[in-house]
Amino acid sequence: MQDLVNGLAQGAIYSLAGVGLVLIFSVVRVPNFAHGEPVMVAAMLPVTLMALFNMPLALALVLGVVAAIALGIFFSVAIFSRLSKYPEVSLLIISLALVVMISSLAVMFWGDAARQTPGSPSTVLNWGGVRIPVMWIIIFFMALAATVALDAFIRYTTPGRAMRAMALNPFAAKLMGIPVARYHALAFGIGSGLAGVAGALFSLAFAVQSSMGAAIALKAFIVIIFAGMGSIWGAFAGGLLLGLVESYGASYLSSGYRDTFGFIFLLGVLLIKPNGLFARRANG
Amino acid sequence: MVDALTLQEITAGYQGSVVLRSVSLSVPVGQNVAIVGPNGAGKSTLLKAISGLVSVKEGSIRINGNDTTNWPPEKIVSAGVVHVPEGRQVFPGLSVEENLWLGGYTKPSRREDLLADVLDLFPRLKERLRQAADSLSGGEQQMLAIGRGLMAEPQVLMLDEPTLGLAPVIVDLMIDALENLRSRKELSLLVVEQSVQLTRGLCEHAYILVDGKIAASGATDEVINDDMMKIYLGTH
Ligand SMILES: Nc1ncnc2c1ncn2[C@@H]1O[C@H](COP(=O)(O)OP(=O)(O)OP(=O)(O)O)[C@@H](O)[C@H]1O
Ligand SMILES: [Mg+2]
Repeated sequence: MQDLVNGLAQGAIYSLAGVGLVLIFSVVRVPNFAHGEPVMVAAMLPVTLMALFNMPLALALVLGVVAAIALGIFFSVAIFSRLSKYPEVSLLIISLALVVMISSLAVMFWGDAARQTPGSPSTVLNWGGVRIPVMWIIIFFMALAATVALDAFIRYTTPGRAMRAMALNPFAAKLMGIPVARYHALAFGIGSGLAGVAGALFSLAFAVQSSMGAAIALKAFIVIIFAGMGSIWGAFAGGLLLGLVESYGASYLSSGYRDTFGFIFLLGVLLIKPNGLFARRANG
Repeated sequence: MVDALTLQEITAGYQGSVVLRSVSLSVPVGQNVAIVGPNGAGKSTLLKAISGLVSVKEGSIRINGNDTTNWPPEKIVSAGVVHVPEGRQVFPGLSVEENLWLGGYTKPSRREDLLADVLDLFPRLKERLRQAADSLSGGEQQMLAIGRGLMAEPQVLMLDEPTLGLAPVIVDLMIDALENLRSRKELSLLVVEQSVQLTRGLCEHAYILVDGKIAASGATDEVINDDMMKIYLGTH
């Protein structure tokens, strides 16, 4: 039971990061390995803001997410929207270069020590011997709420439908008069914002460090490959599943290999279902 | 009266290869123009240059007298020129209704009227509003592509091979629908088309494009006849 709870809490973070990545990948086809960097920025920045400016926790968290959104929009406007005619492999290499640059800068600025954002609710519920920190419950429902909101946004709003059109046929989307450059930035902004929320929540419950981005991005990729690349709810479920795999793997097999269980599981999934567990038509 | 669309000696192509060389053309308001030419002549590239998908290296494009050379596609659509591409390019997985909705992206306040109008023109789409666009027959997809273009309320509608690969009965339906559009004074068609029946029945003017250059132009009856076709296209 404890493994289940641990896995869901950790997994909800992966879900959020994965949902953001699936949005970016489906709308603009950028395999954005730098997706972990907005997670990291929103995880690291609040403590610094609180220390430097004596800022209240809530404001610091919000500003961390805003910084993540800004980073995503920067990725789009300054880099990837200018390179959209290049193949995905080139974009992949560029996103890896961004990981190296941003995480080196972050390590210079913040050092590489692990830390946690203080001030989250410390109450721990105890249900028949299972420890459930209230913060974990908050994480889970925030991730769920963000995914519901994104799904509704994609389905029912004009920008959402325009982004869905870009995902399905970018060429035709241009011919409809859809300003694709603007939605490129919007997809990056929203996707990185969700990554930022993941980072902020992560830092409230678990230890974070300035070099964490690459590992989170890899996990977000595992999640969306599970999900079959195109589905928001697939990514949400995939994140929870990855959290559970890691948590059960760590407790029944070996905690030292925690990070490898996800990959092994991914390989297994791909052998059995090459299109991903939740593969269906792309829905943005 | 200023022409709806004018191209002045435009040169355009893809990275490393020039496809169109000094092409001039004009589409008068309310009149229809055909472009014919052999495969690979650059007909689709010409439409792409107008709609902003391919960049123009020399020359200028004007819509209603305003210079729109190298404007991004969304501004061209807003300026009144809409491109219905080769191969239909419907949004797969979305319903007919959602496809048409997207066509009206630049005209949100006029959507309802425009939709009613399109469904009038293509009643077959009306019966299939909830059906996935990619499950339609080829002819129905072409109707959807044209209807989706009309949802942007264009002044010039550019059609790239609208009858390609369609059964003869469907081609007749398409011609009827386009004839119907013809009666609209405010709309011009710029049609790339192999079907002589369609171009002669529909278009006042025709241009023959060969190897990226305009080889002949004039009234459709004079340009699209057996002699011309033989000389320039090597057909018939
Ligand atoms: N995306 C592209 N990149 C590079 N070259 C291209 C591209 N698209 C077309 N071409 C080249 O441009 C030339 C003109 O092609 P285009 O599609 O405009 O011809 P077309 O007249 O429409 O032919 P068709 O009747 O077969 O449709 C061809 O030589 C083609 O190979
Ligand atoms: Mg063509």
